[in-house]
Amino acid sequence: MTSCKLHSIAWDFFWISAVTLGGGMAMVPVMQREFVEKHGWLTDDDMVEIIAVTHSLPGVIAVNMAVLVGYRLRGLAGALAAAFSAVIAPFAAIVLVAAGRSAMTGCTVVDNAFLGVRAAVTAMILVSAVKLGKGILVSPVSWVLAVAGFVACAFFGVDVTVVILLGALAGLAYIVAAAIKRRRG
Amino acid sequence: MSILLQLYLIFAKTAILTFGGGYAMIPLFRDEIVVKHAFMDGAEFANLVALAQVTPGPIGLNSATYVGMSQAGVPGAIAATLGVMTPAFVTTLAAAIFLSRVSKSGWLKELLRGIRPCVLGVIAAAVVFFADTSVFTSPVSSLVRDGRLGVSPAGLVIFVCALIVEWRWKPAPVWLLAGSALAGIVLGGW
Repeated sequence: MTSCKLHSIAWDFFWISAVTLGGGMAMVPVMQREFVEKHGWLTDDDMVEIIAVTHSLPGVIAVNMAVLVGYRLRGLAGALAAAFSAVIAPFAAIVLVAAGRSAMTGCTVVDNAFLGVRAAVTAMILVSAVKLGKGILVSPVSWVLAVAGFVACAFFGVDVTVVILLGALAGLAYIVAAAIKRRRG
Repeated sequence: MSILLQLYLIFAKTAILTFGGGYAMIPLFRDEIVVKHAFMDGAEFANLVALAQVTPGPIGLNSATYVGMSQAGVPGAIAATLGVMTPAFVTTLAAAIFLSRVSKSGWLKELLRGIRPCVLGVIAAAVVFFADTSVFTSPVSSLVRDGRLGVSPAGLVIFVCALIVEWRWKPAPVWLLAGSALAGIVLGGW
């Protein structure tokens, strides 16, 4: 474990985030090949644990993963090196895109292309929501929460933050219920 | 408050509330960027989500950088990017230090049992908002109010085709988006 140098952690996170479009989970297969199979810095079990933990924490998954892996390998310095290296390429790409985009506004061909792109993104999110739903909508309560969240946001303009905090309240109810059950049982 | 500090705080706050990353971030960021601060309109945000699929890095990071850049140039982009990184950095570092306890404690799992369905509902609402910028020419919510809904034929055709392709084959996002951009140009303002 101590064999990995700070600069090789930084380099790996830089290029992995640069080649994985879309970020987050797209990084997992490349990280697995690089850190587990090639360098032997981590095991498959480590990867599974990292995925589980990063998905239960707030924040951008790509940064969560970089911090967790970086910390495992080289402590705080590793975490800092990994996190900052992981954002260099995305940062540079968007700065360029933002600069180019403002130069193209008002061009009909570009506008039409983006209409098509927005329609496709709508479809992609819908498909992903349906697939996510298979794992999440497992009980009547989860259906109620999801439908309520949808209606509140889509038709009543309720703050997304408020909906998520209400979900956290429902989660607290689960925790209390579990505690009561344990005490009785 | 200086614009840089404001950008940092907005994105730090937004990122704290995102669990699970990916599409789960989209509705929250949209709410903050489009609805509350009006940094850009809904269509521009939908474009940005598409761009985030074909550039490195996740949508949360990309949208922070983009908004920061559009509001205050490169310093703004840096401030917003640091903001969006902060919660992930702090919470993950804490988790890494106390990892064995976090992964074994059941309470986080129970908490997420409540949060995840709500996030799903919010993502479904984002589908409606995105449809507003492409498939429809008037907001879906106005259907309830005045019973009318304008449809963009080009947007609808591309949406249905993209839905079938994505569901059936799940190609790499770059191919689907390139195809849709081409279809958008060919079908024009139809």
